[in-house]
Amino acid sequence: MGRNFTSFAITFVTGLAAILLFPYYVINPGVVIEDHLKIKDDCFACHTLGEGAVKDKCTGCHNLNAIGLMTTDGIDRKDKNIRSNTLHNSVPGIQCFDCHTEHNGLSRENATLKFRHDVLSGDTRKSCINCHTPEKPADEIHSILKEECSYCHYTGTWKPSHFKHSLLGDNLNECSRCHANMKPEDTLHKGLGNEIECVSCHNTDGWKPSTFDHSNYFRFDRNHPSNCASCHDMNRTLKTYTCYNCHEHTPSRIAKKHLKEGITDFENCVKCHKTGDKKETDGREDRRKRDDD
Amino acid sequence: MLKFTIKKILPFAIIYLALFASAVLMNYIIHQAGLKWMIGYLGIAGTSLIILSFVYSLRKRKIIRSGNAKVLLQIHEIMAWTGAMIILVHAGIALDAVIPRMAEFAMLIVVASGLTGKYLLKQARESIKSKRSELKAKNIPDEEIEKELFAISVMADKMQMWRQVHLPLTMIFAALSLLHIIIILLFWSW
Repeated sequence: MGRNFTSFAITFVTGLAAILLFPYYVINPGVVIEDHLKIKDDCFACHTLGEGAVKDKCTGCHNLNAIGLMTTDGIDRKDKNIRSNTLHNSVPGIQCFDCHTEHNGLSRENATLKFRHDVLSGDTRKSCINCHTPEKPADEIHSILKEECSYCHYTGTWKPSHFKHSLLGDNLNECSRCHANMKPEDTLHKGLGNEIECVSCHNTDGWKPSTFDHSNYFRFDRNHPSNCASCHDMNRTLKTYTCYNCHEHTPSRIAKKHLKEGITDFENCVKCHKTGDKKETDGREDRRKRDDD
Repeated sequence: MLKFTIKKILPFAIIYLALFASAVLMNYIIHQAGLKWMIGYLGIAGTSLIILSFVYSLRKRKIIRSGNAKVLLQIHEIMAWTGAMIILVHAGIALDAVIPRMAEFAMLIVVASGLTGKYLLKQARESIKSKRSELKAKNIPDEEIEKELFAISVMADKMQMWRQVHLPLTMIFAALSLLHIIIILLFWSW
C-alpha cells in the first residue's frame, strides 16, 4: 500500500508543481496565436475557473463595437473591415468560442472555426446583403432580382441554388436578357425573328421538351413525311417553305385549280391546307368570300 | 524459441496491438459518422470503464465480499482494455499538453503490464495442472478444485513480484489522469 501511495503522491505533487511553475508548457493544449503570446503564461487572462474562456474575458481586450475598425490598443485600423464589425455586433448573444478557438497554432487563420450562419439572429441572417454586398454577382439576372438571396441560395453554399423563374415577375418573358448566348444556332432557331418569344415553344420548367408542334402548321402523313428538306431550304431558314418541290404540285397547276375555285390568294399553302388531305381544308369558304369581296 | 514466442507471447502481443487497431477503427467510424464532437467526451467514458474495472481489486482486497473473483478478473481485463482503447481515441485529439500525453503513455504501459500479468497467471495455471489431477483423485468437487487452483495461481511468487510493479504503475497513471481531469474541470467550458 505504501509503495502504491508513494507512487501516486510523488507523481501528483511533481505534476502539480510543474503546472504551477510552467503552466504554458505543462497544461497548455497547443500554441496560442502570435498576438496572444504575450499573455501565454497567464491562463486566467482568457479562462475563468469552471467556466472556460468566457466572452467577458475576450471583450475585455476586444471591444465588440471596435472589432474590424480598431486594434485592441484603440488605434484605427488602416484596413477597416466593416463586414467583420457588422457581423460581430449582430451576434451579441453568443460566446466567442462558438466561432473562435485557441491553442491551435501561431496563425490567426487557425483561430477561426468554420463560420455558421445559424449563430446570427433571424433578421440579420435574412439580410444577406448586409455582409455580402461585394459578392453579389454583377450579371443580368442578379440586377433584375429584387428578392432576398435566400429565395434561391442557402447559407451553406452559394451553389447549388434553387432559382425559380417566377421571381422575375414582369421580366419573365425577356429570356434573351439572361439566355442570349444560349440560343441554339441550328437552322430552326437561327431563322426565328425577335418577334417570336422563346416561350412560344419553351417553358421555364426546362428547355426540353419544347411545346413546338409541327402539326400546328402542317401535319405529316404517308405522302408528306417529316423530311425537312422536302419543303424547307435547309441552308436558309425553316420559316419559309415551298410545296412546289414535289411533282404533284406545280405552280401552274395549283394556280389553275385555285383560280377555278375563285381563290386568288394561294401562295401560302399551309394557311388553308394543314394536311395533305384534299378534303381537310381550313378557311376555304372564308377565303372565297374574302376574295369575292 | 520461435515456437515458444508464437504460442506463448504472440496472443498477448495481438491483444495489445488490437488496442491500437480498434482505436484507429473507432476513430474512423466516428469521423465518418460526423460525430467528431464526441471525442472530447470519450475521456469520461473510457475513464469510467477503467474505474469500474477496479471492482476486481476491491473484491481481491476483500473490501467488497461478494462476487466471483475469477469472473471479476475477466471483467477487469475486458473493461480496462476497452476503456484504454476509448481513451486512445480521445487522446487522438492531438493536443500538445504534457500532462495528458504523459497520462496516455502511462496508460499504455499499465495495459502492457496488465497483459504481462495475464501471461504470468496463465503460466502459473498451466504449471499447476498436475495439481488438479491430484485433487480430482481425492474426489473433491469441481467447484472447490477451481477455487483452490485459482487461489494458488494468483498467489504464485512471480505474480507477487509483478503486482509490485503493476500497482505503482497504475497509481502513476491515476495521478496523471487526476491532474488532467482537474485541469479540464477548471479550464474547460462545460
